[in-house]
Amino acid sequence: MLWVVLGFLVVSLLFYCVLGGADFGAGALELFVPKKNRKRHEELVNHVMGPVWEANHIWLIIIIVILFNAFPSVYTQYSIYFHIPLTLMLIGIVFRGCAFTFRNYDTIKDDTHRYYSYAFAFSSLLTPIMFGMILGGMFFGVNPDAPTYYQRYITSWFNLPSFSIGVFVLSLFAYLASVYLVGETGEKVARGYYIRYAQKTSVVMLLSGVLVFLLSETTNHPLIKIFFSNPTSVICFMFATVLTIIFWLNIKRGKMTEWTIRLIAGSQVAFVLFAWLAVIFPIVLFYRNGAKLSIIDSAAPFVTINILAWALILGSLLFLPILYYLIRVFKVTK
Amino acid sequence: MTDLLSARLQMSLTLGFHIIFACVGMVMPFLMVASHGLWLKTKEPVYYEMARAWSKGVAILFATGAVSGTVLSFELGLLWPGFMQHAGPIIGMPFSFEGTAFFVEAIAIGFYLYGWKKVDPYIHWLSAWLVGISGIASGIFVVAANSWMNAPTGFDWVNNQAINIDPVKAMFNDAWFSQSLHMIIAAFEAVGFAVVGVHAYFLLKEPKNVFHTKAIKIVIWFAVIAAILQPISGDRSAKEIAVRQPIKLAASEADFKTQNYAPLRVGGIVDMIHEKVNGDIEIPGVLSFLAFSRFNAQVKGLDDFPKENWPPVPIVHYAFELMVACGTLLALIGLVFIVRFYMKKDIIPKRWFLKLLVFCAPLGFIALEAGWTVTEVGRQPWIIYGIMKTKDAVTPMPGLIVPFIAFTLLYVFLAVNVTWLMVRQFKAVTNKSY
Repeated sequence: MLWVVLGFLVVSLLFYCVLGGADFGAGALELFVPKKNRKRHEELVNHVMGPVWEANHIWLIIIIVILFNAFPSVYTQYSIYFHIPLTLMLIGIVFRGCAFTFRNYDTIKDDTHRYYSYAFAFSSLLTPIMFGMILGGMFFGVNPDAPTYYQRYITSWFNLPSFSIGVFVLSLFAYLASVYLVGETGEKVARGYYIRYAQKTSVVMLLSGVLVFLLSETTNHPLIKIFFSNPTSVICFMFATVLTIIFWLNIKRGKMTEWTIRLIAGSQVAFVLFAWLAVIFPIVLFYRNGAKLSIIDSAAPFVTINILAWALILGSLLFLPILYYLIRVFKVTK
Repeated sequence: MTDLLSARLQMSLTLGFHIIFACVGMVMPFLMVASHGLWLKTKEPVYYEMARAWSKGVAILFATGAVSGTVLSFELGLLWPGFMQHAGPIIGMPFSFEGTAFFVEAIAIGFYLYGWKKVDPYIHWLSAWLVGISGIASGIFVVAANSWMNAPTGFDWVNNQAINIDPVKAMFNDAWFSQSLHMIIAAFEAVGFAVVGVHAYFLLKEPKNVFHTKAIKIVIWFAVIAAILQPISGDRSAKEIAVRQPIKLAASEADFKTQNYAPLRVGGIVDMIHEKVNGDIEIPGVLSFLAFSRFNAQVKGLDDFPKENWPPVPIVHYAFELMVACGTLLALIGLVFIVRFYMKKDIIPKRWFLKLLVFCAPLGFIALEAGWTVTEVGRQPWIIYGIMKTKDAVTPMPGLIVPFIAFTLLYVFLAVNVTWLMVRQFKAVTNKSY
């Protein structure tokens, strides 16, 4: 049953990264879309995300509930050592959710919408960066024995290697959004734009990915050695690379259907995530003093895990069909 | 300000904020179900407009509730890791049910808000039902988790560790039913009177307006029935608390001394130095009767408990008085309305009554916030009643005043913004004519 719960945790993480990630990416893209296209981009984002954004973000709640229910030490240790970036992430989530809905549902359309748009775009930028920096902090290690507040609660995640992971996550999300929007826009010109955004963001993704590896050499977790000595992560990495090549070769020709493109982008995220998990699993938090927090060891008693597993199985039987129906109704009938 | 106080204030701010929007998410769908259903039945466009106008407001309020709820799910750990370390595995079950119910709710609301003219009208109508039912379900689950903090059960506490965990027993603790019931009725009462108040305000301005007349005709029933039922549910809660958490009842009533024929106290200023209440009205024996159904029953006072376990008495007492005052007033208004309805068969009331309804618009929410203050502050200094103190649960990270200020600013900003948007919505509705 523990593996059922872990499976749901990984699947929720994947769905949050793919679906929530595309949402964040679409918001962050608003900052980089040239002025003449901004309005059209905004309308497309409103149209595409409106019905689904709340559902997309519930994956995060599922992740949190699984963590505090089944792996309380993991949840509390993250909460203690990543209090600041988690709070910043939350403020980002509040701002973007509200700004998006306020902009979308205000009965009177006027100049105030500009402010909502800025709030939406900036918080869409901030949240993935914080998310990536927390991932960095988990891996490069927190320092519970540090003498100062600064070293204990800030430098563990506020450092260059973690920041490069933040940029990587952001560019991954922006890439996902571009790819997703390629399929959503009916117009040929706009399609061309999003293809170009997809290309640009994948370049940023590649560069920041390389940067993550290089900067990790300055820490006590040199990623190059750890990563490439792990067969699973190497295989995932190879798959992701092959998919990238396929994507680059085919996107311009316009031969691929929208769903193929999305499937490729979604699988790329999945492979990145699996490669990452292969590197760290079952350790989910490293400490600078050499201690490690294993998710398996911190599992709650069997009875809790058992009930949670059943709740997740039955719950997903309940919400997956209607989620599918929601997506079908709003995606197919255009 | 100590870190503990900052953490407590931040928690109360974020909970108090979220509760408002959560209640809207629970109750408004049923109002939309009603007007939408009337539209399907009568085909009168005014009901269609009503459901749509409400749903636009709900979209804004629901989103605010969703994101502020996300904040809370993190905050439990950010502020109270010592609590969640132990409580997570015990009361995680209702939280996981709540997560599922909320997932269904979020999907259904996306469907409802964007489904106009896209899906079959009856399936569309069903989706509004689904929003409401899953909203109520998630409300019940989350209150069940909270009630466990008042009536902890389903585990053995040995050497500061929880063993022999039984999540099912923990969820169905002694307090879950009375607390959930009181909360759900409170939500209908608060949202009902708020919506009626807004429509009454516009009806006063424009007495012939069909839209507002029909809106009041629908919503007032929800408000009035909830207001009349609420004292009954409150009575049940009080009787349970008298046994389960006598110190909370003592603080609510500011009873410093254990006594038979305990009086019901109305009003008064709490004097913590001399441990008495000045300027109150005491009705002898009534508290004993309300708590134990006997006028001579003994009701425990604060002097029965060590002082270090006292909650902040004045806050609990004033909050309790405020809740009871608002609730009583709303229940009386409900009774007046019902009597008037049976005598005159006329729902739309006179101007003085409309004015009264406008005045009462915020009272349900005030009672609700005050009630939560009684529940939560009245449990202090415990976070898990009798098991773990709040001060032992707070995060070791110092400087908690900073996130408290940040969230205060954020939520004030949001509150202003939401209010402003709502006013714009109301204006847009009233500018249309029927």
